[in-house]
Amino acid sequence: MALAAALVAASFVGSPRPAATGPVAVALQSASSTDKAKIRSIYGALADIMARDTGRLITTTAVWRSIYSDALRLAAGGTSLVGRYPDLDDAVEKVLSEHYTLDNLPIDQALADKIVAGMKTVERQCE
Amino acid sequence: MSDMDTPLSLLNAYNDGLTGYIFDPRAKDEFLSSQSYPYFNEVNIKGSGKGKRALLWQYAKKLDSRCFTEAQTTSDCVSHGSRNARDISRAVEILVNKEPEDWFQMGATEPTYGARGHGGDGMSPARASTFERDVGFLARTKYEPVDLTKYNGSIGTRWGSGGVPQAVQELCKKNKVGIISNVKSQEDLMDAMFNGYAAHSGQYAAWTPGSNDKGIHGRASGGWGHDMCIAGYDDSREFFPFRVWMIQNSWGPWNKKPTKWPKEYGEWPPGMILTSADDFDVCVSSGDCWTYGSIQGYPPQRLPDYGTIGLLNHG
Repeated sequence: MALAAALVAASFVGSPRPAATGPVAVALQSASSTDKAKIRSIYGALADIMARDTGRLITTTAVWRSIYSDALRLAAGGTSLVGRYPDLDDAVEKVLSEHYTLDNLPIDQALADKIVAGMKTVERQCE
Repeated sequence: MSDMDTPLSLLNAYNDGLTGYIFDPRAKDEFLSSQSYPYFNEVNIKGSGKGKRALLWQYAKKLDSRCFTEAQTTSDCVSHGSRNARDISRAVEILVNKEPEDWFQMGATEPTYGARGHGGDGMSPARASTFERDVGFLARTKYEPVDLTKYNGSIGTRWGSGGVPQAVQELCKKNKVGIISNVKSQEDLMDAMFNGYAAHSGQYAAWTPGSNDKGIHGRASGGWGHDMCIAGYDDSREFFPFRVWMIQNSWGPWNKKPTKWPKEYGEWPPGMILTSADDFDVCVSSGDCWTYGSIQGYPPQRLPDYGTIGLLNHG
């Protein structure tokens, strides 16, 4: 029993985390762990915001776009992050496009879930 | 009526008795009796506008710089007044209430005026309300049966006797004004406007093109049978020791900027009348003051991007 437990534990402790893949991961290939952590935290927080709201205050994708852009301006604007990874904008847009469309639509639970999934994917690709 | 192509000619025509606004008590009664809430008297927001300021025209201007620049060329002022009120309320719904709608284009006047029910001059605001509530409205764009890209007063004039063509009415049905309420007091109108409902009113009254000793537009002798959009008010007493109202005329640049226009009001839209509550009261007491709300606008369209572009790469 003890041996089995030790083997299971070892299987987790010993295995390296798989490298992140996807457009954002590629764009951040040369990024420091500090920069990745900064970007990861921004998208993690955005996912949390949408997950808690689900369309109550953030009523449409146009409103969400505005909030998202403002959050990026406040979180990244004026920092050394801006301009350091030239393909990052397009990479993030590509990831988001895989989860929801550019249609300006009312946000319901289903659409909120898709937006959360998009933000979390960006977050994961920053690991 | 083709000679009414300058602000001065419009002023002269109305001074000489041109009928733009028609008081039609029967049409008004019919409209009010078909409404769930005929009068604007919202208990939940009662008193909310008192002591406040609402410069509502700025919302429409923010979305479309062409708003309030169109000058009527015939006696279709009611359709201009109602269109301007409609556009302002629609802009508030988009910018303030964050409703999932697109501005698309400013509104058109022609279908409303074409629904006046006769081939002569002028229109009852109640008839305009009935059409815009029950049939709807169109935008300044090209439709298959009619090109409304540019204002053409002769279109609405022509439709008057026979009515708006059925094909045009069908197009109008996509966009309607959900709530149109009659206003009985300045207090109720302040409540409406502070909560984002613009208005228009028909009355027999005239204003001077220049400023009076208070630095605003005062009433002139005589009267115009005219309808105009009520685009804002200021009851804060911050700039004037009395309440002032902003009325947007539809004659183009027919008057002068008030000498005491506060810079805090933003850019003065040419043609706007700034007047005192005393001089304004006729716009409500006439019985033909109407607020517009719950406008069924244009369906949402596509966003330019998700919101990332330019924020991580270029700052």
